[in-house]
Amino acid sequence: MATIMPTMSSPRSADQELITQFVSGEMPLGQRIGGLSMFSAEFKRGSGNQVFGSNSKGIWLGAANFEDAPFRVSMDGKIYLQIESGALVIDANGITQFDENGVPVGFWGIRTGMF
Amino acid sequence: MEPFDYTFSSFNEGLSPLAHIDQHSFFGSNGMAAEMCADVLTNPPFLQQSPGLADLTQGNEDGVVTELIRHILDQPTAETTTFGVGTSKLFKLSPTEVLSGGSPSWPQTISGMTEGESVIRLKENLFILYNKSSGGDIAAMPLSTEVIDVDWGSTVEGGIPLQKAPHPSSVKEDIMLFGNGRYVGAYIAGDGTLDTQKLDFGEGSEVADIVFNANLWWIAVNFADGRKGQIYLYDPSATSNTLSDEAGIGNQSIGFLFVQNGNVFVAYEDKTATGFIIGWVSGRSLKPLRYFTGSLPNHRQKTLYFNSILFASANALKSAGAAVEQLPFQISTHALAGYDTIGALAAPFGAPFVSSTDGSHYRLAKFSGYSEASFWKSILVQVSRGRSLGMVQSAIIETYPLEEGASCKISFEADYSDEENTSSEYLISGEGKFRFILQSINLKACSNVRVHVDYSESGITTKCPIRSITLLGHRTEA
Repeated sequence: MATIMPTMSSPRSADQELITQFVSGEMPLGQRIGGLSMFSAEFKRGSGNQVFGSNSKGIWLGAANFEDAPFRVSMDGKIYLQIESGALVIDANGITQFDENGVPVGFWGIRTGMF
Repeated sequence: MEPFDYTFSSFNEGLSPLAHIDQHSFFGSNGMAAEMCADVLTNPPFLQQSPGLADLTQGNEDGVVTELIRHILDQPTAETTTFGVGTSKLFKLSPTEVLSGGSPSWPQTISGMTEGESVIRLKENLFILYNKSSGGDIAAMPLSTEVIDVDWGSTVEGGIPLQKAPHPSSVKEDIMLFGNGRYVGAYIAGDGTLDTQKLDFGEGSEVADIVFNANLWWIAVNFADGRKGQIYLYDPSATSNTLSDEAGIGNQSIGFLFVQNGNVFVAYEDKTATGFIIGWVSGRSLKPLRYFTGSLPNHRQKTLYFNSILFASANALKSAGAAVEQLPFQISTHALAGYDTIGALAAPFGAPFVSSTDGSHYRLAKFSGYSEASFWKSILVQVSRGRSLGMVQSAIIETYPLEEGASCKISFEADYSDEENTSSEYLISGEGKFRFILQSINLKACSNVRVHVDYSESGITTKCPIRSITLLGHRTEA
């Protein structure tokens, strides 16, 4: 008696089929390690506005978005600090104070060539 | 004369991978069908009738369902209470009945609504997202009073009318995210902030579905009239203005997202090909699992049933998944939905609820008993070899011990279901019997053959589960 074989062998079980293969250099969509969310263009630690993050704009602390953060450092080295009456921005030239409307109201320069 | 045998078994493997292209496909494993409407999910590996449908009490136009119910809340708000939204009314549902009367009187009309899009519970309120003849809105209803504020979404602080578009919605703790045409809206109950345009995907885009999984919002968006699809990830607290990550699915249209056991499944369509696809997000890619015919289901037409995704497609309900993980992932046509146009599918109390219409009649029904529309046709099996044709002489059918009144009919179709070479129908019945031998099959010599299991006269109260069908024959010189 010759048994006719099916044209397809029995498929894999669901738990074998629903496995994400590791691909070197590729990060699974929405990968999380502990409280750290890792995405293709940024990572975030925390939730809501209690976030420490990094993306192509820089690093930040204390907000969901870089632009809203009370503390942030841009990729060109500017440090932004939110203060009660506005903000301080520290860069290579010194410290600039801005009011709530973003208008500069003070500057403390950094002298060079002293040493 | 060379004898041969072939056994159809493991019916839990569902439809052939090529059934969406060819209903006379040869490709498949022993248990795969080329056409079917049957239950191969709930009692594997047996094949048995599809579940039948029974209207809920008052669940048709003779009762209070006088319009198509378009979405049913899949998570009950109380042990025996959930809600469904139609084209103009909000319905209150129990496991057996569409409720009427009371104060306020059910069903409740939502003034101005022309299309209910979704119903969702957030904390102690029910929200109903809907379209009007122009634009859309969100109605709010405290579960304690059941008094509906029909234009809550456009009158609450920060609210503006919605786009006229699909409005899928999802909740996580005190946050509701919802689709609003090209926008995603967010409502944070904790501080009462509503922003109906929190995220903007741009002109020509439309949010198809939203789910929450792995501490992220997953947002499916179609672009350019469904010619391109994209899945985006979004900040769980819905406070960020930027998206976290994305995965493209290329020139394909997304129907729905579905979360099961931490995996995100996607129903989508390649408009250049035949059929539709169920896939899942694996790593950064979307992997197709199985294909199906019918239509692309939307966010209102999916639910969990027996560890599988039950979804609407054309006038039928398809099942995709496996009853247990040790069995293969299958896709099958599990049941018919009643009338030809399906509105909503959900299983808030266990047994699936499905609403449908033929344009003038409406029903909300749930699975009950068995359907005489059930049938199963195997893939074609090549029985010829070289110059020799195959002669099917006999068959052995193994069943579960049959209950009184259980029956089905089995026939054999040769050479691409040639009407002139189809066998008689053989009745399988007999209380307590579980093995049937058909001694003499009246089929002529043929190249290929398939089995047809017909439940059209099997009644609606007794199942007839088949475990295997073995063909025995020999090859003869043509």
